[in-house]
Amino acid sequence: MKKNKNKKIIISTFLLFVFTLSAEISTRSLKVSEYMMAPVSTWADVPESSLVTKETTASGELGFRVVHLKRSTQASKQAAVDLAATGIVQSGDIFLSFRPEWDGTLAYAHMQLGVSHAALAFVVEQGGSKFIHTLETPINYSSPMNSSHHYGDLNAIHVIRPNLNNEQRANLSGWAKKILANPGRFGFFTDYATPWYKRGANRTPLDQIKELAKVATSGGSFSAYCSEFVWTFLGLRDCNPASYAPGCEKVIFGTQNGALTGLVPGLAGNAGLIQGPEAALVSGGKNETEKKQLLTQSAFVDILTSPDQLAGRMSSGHRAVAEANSDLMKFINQGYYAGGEPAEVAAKINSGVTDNFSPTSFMIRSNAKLDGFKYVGTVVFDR
Amino acid sequence: MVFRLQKITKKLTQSLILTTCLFSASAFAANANDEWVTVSLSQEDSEGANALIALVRNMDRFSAWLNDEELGPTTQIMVKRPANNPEAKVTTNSVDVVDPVSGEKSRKIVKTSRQVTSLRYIVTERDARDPSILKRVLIVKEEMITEFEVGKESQAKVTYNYPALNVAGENLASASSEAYRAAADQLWSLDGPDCIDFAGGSEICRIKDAATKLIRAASRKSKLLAEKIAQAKASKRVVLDTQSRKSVTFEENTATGAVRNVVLSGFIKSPTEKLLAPDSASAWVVKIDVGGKFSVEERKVSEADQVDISSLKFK
Repeated sequence: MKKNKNKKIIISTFLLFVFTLSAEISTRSLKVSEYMMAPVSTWADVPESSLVTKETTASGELGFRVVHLKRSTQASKQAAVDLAATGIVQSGDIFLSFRPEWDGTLAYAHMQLGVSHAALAFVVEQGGSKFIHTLETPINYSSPMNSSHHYGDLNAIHVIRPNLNNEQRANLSGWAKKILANPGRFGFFTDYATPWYKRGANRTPLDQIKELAKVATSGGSFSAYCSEFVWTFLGLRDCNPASYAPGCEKVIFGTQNGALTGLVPGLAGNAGLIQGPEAALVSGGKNETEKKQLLTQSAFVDILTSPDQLAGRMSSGHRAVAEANSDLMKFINQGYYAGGEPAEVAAKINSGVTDNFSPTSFMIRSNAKLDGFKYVGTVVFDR
Repeated sequence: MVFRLQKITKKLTQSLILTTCLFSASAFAANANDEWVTVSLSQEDSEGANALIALVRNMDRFSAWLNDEELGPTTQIMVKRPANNPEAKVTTNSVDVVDPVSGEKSRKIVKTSRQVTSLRYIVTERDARDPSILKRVLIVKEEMITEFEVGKESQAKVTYNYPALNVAGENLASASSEAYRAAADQLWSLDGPDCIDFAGGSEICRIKDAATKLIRAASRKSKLLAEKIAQAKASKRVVLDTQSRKSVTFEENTATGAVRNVVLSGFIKSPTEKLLAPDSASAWVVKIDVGGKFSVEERKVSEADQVDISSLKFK
């Protein structure tokens, strides 16, 4: 297995939609396969709202907490106002762009749980109006959910909550304001397979958190792809932006270096970049037989392959990455999951994987009940 | 916004249509008090969305084929696509406009740049029971050649055989109502499944009512639309967007089924627009508004929606 191929798989932004599972196990608003759903046992407590419904499968263990916003508000500030009014989103929460249309397409898209992009959300107030404002790269997508280049084409957004206290939220809000005040310092890096710490010698993931703080406070430039930026930013939660001094940085994922590897056999206290579907099914109450069947016959399977048919479901960039990883997905299916999840196969795959932070990472950690991440809900525009 | 003029390398669309009344009032009419709901055609019927985008991209060929006639009320529109078999490696689709009533004359084939758009005739089970219709359909069909474009590099012309129709044609000589009925049984029933198997590892899928309605409406002023698209090409304000996900949304009246405000996105972009992330979408869309006007617009954040970062209070 080529190393660069392994790298590509794990990282990129991807999204999907599936119809391999029958309608009876789909939820009403989001008709996707079970492994793309959020285990109910991972859901955060949120205030009640008339805009929110709980939609689960028959077992009640997998599904979505759906936040219904008006279709007419999509890609407008009003959506950010309406969402803030529900009280469901807290500063420091993570927005994951969710593409249910990736379900039933390519295995790689399934593995990414339909997640194509990651951003941060903050509750802000201006002129007496409270609304949500995002912080994300490309930095010009940061907006009250109305950037034409992203939110105009986005029909569903997962909200994932990191484990933050009030002081940490305040710190992150301060950092967000600093960064948004100097957008020219922050670029978009297009290669999702090469995080900042791999772009220079003798760097660690922790170093890139320090670099972000340095650029935000003192100038310079920092480029990152979307999920890398989110991961790096959250590493500043214990740092007061008004009195920043190196040493307060802390990675958000509880792994050896803070980034995720590919596979962790048995999900033993950890979860890798490939294991979003598996973690969802395990936390969603599926037994070993059910899990294996869904992973080998549905999740890690290319279902729709024609470019013409995929054109309405994913961008050409996402499709190219998925197609490039088709053979690896088959290997994960047959060599790992169908083969009983042997540790040596996992090790072989991991040897070709760059430890990384994909957009799906945050949902994976939530699905696997790790690091305190919780699923808050999924915003859809269907009213 | 000022755009740098740039040579357009793609031969298709880049539309930019000024306000052109394209769609007849009947397609959009509704009572003021009826409820309108927004529908994502891409989510509800991705085949239909692809078919509509293909035809709009190729409106000049579509118009030439139609010879300025609109599609008839019995028109059925289908998409021929590779069977859902990843091993087949077949990558082209075709859009089939099926019009047994008006199919009396030989017309040119419509073709897209990527996905093939071919037009031909087939009869429905119901129509096939009328010998006069079946005869006319068969004559037209046998004169037709369908062009296939394979990938982006090569093209191949092949004669398209429709086994079911051929069988029906053989039966035509000794026509009896039973023979026609037998032949029709091999055709696609209007009440049948959405997709049926077809030759060569492919299948034919019916697109849903909403997409059919939109395509039929687009046929009504196809010549005028084709002219406006040609003007748009010359303007060079927009180019084909090969990166973004393609999508079609529209509003549908819950009482009358009328449609309005059709938006095609991921279809065009400005020559200078940079779509940085894999998830990026162009701000440019093709839009058909309430009055049936066709235009190309840039989605912009309204002044009221813009925020001053320095005055934001983070909670």
